[in-house]
Amino acid sequence: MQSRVVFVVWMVVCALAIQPAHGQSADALNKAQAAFDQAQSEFLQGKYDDAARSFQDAYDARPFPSFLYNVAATYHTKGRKASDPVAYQKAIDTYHKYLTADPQAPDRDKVEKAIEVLEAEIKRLKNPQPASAGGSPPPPGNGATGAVPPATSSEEINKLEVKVRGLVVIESEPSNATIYLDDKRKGPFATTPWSGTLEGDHKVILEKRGYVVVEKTISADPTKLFLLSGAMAPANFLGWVEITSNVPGADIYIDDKAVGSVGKTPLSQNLSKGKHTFWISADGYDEVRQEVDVIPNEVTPVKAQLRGSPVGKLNVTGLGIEDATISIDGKVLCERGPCLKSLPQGEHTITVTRPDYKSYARRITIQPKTETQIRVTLAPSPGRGDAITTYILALGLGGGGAFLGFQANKYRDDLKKEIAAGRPPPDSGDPRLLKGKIFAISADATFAIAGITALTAVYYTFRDKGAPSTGLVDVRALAVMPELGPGYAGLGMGVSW
Amino acid sequence: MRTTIWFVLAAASVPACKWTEFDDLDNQTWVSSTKKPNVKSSDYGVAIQRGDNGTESASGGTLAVIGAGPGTYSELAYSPTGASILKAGSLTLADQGITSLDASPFLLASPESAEIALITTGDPGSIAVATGTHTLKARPLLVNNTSLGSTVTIASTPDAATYMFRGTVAGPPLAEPLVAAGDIVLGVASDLPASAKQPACKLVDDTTPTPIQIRALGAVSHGLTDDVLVWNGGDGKLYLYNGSVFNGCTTQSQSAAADVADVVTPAFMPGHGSQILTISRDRVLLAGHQDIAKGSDSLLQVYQVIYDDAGNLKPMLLPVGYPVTTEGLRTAAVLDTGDATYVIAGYPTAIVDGKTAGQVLVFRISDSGLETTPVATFHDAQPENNQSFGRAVAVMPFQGKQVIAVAADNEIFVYFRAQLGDGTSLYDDTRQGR
Repeated sequence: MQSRVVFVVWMVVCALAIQPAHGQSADALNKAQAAFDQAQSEFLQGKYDDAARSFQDAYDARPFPSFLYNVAATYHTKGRKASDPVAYQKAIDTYHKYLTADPQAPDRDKVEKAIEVLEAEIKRLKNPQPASAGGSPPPPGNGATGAVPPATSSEEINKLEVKVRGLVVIESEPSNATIYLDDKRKGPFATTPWSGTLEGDHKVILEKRGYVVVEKTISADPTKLFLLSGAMAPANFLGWVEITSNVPGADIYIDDKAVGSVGKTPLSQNLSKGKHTFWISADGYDEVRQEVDVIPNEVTPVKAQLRGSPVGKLNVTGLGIEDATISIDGKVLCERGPCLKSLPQGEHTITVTRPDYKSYARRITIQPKTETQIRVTLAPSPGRGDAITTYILALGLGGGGAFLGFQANKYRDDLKKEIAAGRPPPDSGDPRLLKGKIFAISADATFAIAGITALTAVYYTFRDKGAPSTGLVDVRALAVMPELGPGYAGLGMGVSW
Repeated sequence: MRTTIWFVLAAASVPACKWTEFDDLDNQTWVSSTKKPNVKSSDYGVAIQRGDNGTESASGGTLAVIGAGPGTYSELAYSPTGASILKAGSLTLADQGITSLDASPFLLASPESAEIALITTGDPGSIAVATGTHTLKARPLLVNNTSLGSTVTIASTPDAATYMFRGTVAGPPLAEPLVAAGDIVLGVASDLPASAKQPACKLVDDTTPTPIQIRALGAVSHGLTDDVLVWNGGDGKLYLYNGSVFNGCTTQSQSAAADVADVVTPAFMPGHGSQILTISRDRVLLAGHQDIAKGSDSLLQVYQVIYDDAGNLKPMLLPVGYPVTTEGLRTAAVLDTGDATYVIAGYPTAIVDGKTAGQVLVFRISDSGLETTPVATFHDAQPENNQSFGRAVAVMPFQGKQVIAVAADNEIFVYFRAQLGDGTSLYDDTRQGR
């Protein structure tokens, strides 16, 4: 009884503690957003010191590192406008703070480069070079002798791109939800809370074990602070599956392959309770099929051990390849190009066909851990008008030969009959003998010419007129290396050539 | 693809024509046709005659051919297989003094030897007689003959001619041409002494009395000298003269000689170039036709000469059987195959298959005379207008047998095998290697 009372008290305390914390977070975010908007406005008005202060206020309200970046960018801009070494120094200091606040900053290299350039610029501004003989005279009243402060920023600093950033903040309640961007098949993007820069329209998918999936669409403005907050409802009827394979990036199909791949390994997601069928497949590996009984509120692992022969990649590209069909060993590999598929190692015959174009075919040897790229240039099929014309000519000649032959045979038969009958007997000078002979020779000659013409027509039909279709083959090695990730381990491939 | 294969197979299945079949057929024909060879005449084959009598050459045969425009004499030599070539030695008649050739000159074959004789107008105003074996040589002309006691002007165009055996002063009888022009009979013998030289003999029918218009001459064997048959174109009478009367006669009246007989032919007046052909010792065939300008009536009739061996009666001339009066007869020859005798009659203007191409009719001669229905009809298998098939006919010894030769316009036909209308053979193939 005592323990039960303690538990209830603890729950109340927790509830009271959570509620104000959540309320404070929302206020801070609103405060940060107001300060951000204020800073943007001031930045556009050229009030760089005010803008920097407002961005700092926003950071103070919610410590998103991007706010610090914007503080630095504001000073950077101010310094460049007025060649102000003080502003440059403030920018350098704030860039350092930004890198400290976000050690994994994706733009670390750029920022460090900017710091380097700014430091050089400060040095240049503080130690101006002596005026050259032909240079402009120093401005009157300047006490420094032999040193001229530069009137403009250096060329190098002008090359630096600097601008304040918008910010996208994705949060969820509860937090630690997996964020997918646009398509789950691309894999996890991040976990909540997340802040960063995004541009354009995106579909954001939030998924967390035991909660209903949240899907929202955002239109990120690079000059604004955009907040996406997902309140995830508990779902006690769902189970949680964790799908992994020894080959990372294998396609995952659930229940109905016709729907298409739901993602790639590793993948964790909610799934309704009951029996489900999983197919995990990867190019060059045998497909693995598993039946799994998903239990609500429990984690169900699905582990696929893919086996297969060594494979290489075939990548078929080329102009107009999108209208071409690519076949391997007589079987269609891709209905349309470009075609990137894995093939078992060994010799294969690739055929690229496109209506009204000459086919391209060649033997290729697929080697494991390589990508064979073929850039195909299909040549248009030539017209067959010459063949048709020749066929017609051959037919005409054949008909003419037949006519002449029939005439010759008629003369022959008449003469035979009359010679046998003798009433009257044809004589050796009978004109039909010569006529028949001429007809027979003409028929034979015409048949011969018709035959030659027909053969020519056949040749015209099958001859490869014009330039053939060609392909440029390039073989690249794929480096295979072990890969470790959150929740999986496998082999990854990198391309080098 | 399938269509292409079918087309090729169909084309390959069409049987090619064997044009050599026509060479084979050419060899199978049993009628040899020879177009005008390389002679100067533009009208080849106005007269034909056997070139030899079958005893000179061991095999094959020879046919003498007269061409006109200009006149030429040439011979076609037929090999045992029937192939013909123009024999060397063709000559132009003008070189023999014969500058004018009748449209249908007489070309006679000697019954004694291989000699032939060409009788034609010759130079204007004269009669030319040329004889020879495998050539022709002009013999002495007998125009303006003085043998009748005074110079007699003889018509320059011969009306009839025949070979006859005439007795000689010494030695065996010789066959010589006998020529008639108007009412005068002329001999060409030159080997007789002047007293017995073959005279010009003027024939008169003294029952009328009128000169006899001699349109055909024939000869039948009777003693050393053949008797001579004369066919009167004036009244159609047929006369038989003892051939010996022509030796030295100046004028011969019909009634003066005891052995002269006459008979009235069946109202047919022969024209120039009619023939009296010898069938046997006592049988002749009258092949008469009108002059072309007068008409196309024709007559074929067998006559028999009956002699009284005791010498008490005059010989008699009797027609045998019925005449054949098919119009358009121009020339005829007698064919003796050994088994039967036939007359080969040429009708060069006969219409065949709607064309005036000419034809040759063959009639059998039996003991009862002519069979009036032809046993065979020959014409060109491809008749043409103005072909004049049958304008001259001859019987040519070939391989020891007699074959029919027919002249047409610039073409000579030789029938190495002949078939009767009933399908039986007139004579089998006479060529070797057939």
